[in-house]
Amino acid sequence: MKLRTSRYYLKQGINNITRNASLSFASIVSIAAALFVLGAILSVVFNLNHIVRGIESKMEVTLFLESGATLEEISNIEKTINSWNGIVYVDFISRHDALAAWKIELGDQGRLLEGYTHENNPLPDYFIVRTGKPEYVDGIVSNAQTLESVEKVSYSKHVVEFIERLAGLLRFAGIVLVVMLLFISTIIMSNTIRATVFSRKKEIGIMKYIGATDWFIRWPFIVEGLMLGLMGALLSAVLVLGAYYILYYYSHGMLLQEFNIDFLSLLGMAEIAYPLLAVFISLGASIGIAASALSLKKHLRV
Amino acid sequence: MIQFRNVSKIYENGLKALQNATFTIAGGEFVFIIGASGAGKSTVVKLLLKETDQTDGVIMVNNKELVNVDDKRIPFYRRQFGVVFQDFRLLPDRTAYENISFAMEIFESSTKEIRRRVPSILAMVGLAERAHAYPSDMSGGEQQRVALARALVNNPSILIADEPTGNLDSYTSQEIIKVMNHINRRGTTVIVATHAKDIVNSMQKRVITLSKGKIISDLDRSGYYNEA
Repeated sequence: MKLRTSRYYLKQGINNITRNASLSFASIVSIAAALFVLGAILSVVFNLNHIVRGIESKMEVTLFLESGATLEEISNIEKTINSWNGIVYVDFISRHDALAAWKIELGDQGRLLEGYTHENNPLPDYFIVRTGKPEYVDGIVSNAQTLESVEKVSYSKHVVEFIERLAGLLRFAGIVLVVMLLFISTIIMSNTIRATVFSRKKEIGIMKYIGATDWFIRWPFIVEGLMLGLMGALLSAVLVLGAYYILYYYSHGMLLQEFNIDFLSLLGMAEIAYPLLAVFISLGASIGIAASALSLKKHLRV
Repeated sequence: MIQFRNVSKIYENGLKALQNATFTIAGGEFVFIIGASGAGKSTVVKLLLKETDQTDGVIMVNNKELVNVDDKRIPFYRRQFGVVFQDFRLLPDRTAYENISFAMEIFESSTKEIRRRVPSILAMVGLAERAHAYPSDMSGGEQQRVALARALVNNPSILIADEPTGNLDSYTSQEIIKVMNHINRRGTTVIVATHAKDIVNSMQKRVITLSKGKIISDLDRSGYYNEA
């Protein structure tokens, strides 16, 4: 294909869009809407996966001790823990350290804990145990539960399972919804292109008499579909990423301040923007091409 | 150059548009195909452009049998023809210049070639001044001259005109035919399907007369219009 001819296709494709401005706008909006929903779902799913990865990578079990455990008991427990399989790290945090750390974390609001001292400290002593591989976690938990003076064992499995179930559900509902929306926008778009094919029917007839090949006639419509798809992708990217930006800077701070759970922090803008843009552009472009192929197949026989 | 041997065309509705037609047109000829409407003139044009296929017989163009031109090659087959219609078939949203350059774009001509060729062909049909006029601002004669320029811009070896003067007054018709004659003298084969008696009689060219799908006369050179 000569450069000159591709310029011609591009120009004609743009003409098609502007000539049918209101229909073109409708298809751009419908694609953008479908991709927006997809983008919203993907952002949530990506973040849930990110959270799961964060929790799993810690592979951490916390053993809370009964109050009043003696130093000897504590050192025995530590020895026992170290004899288990897969232990890479054991740390004992005394109730006094825990209270002090909490006060520091609360910062200005540390005053709230001023009433608590060594004597009436409400916090328990605890061990933090880390393992190198997630499969050791179950063994550690069941061992820990048999230990005397261990009151409660807490680990992330339930949270992980819950989040994974949530992500799976979202993914499934999302796929169904998005497939429906994409189907609808393909139909709307192929109608738009069909309208331009009809408005150019006479022109197509003349082109055929002059000796235009089918591809020469088709290309401008494919360009039209491609550009409508890409514009829809761009519009939805601006909307989704804009919304994400606002949410990110709002909730990022809020989560840190309220819960101080760092692994819950959201994926950054760049981490979310690149995969979303890739998905939007490839989906937008393929819907555009599919829609024009659909209408050309039906209506280009002159 | 063009050969019809016992060509018949029967449409699906049973209409016998052409029956057993045989004629040969040599390169460089100027031929009128005449007859009342429905006599089969347009069918000849449609068969030549391979818009439809004959039911029976053989059509050869430049030593190639038309039935052997497969669908994908039709656009390239058509490029040896320039075609002019009664209703001009210009694109209303483009100027005279653009209507002509459009035909060159289909041939994937270079921009340089287009800029050189379009003004000269506009001058040839006497429309150099009207290059930027739109069809709606032009008279019928001017529009047909644009259509003629469009048909000729890619240097076809055969010019086919289907009732080219049907929508024009007699003075304008003569002007159009003069341009065609001029083209013919430069070597292009010209085939004009028409029922315009004055023009046929004034030109003294070969005349093939059709009636109800049959060739009833084929008068060489000094032909005249005889519908009987």
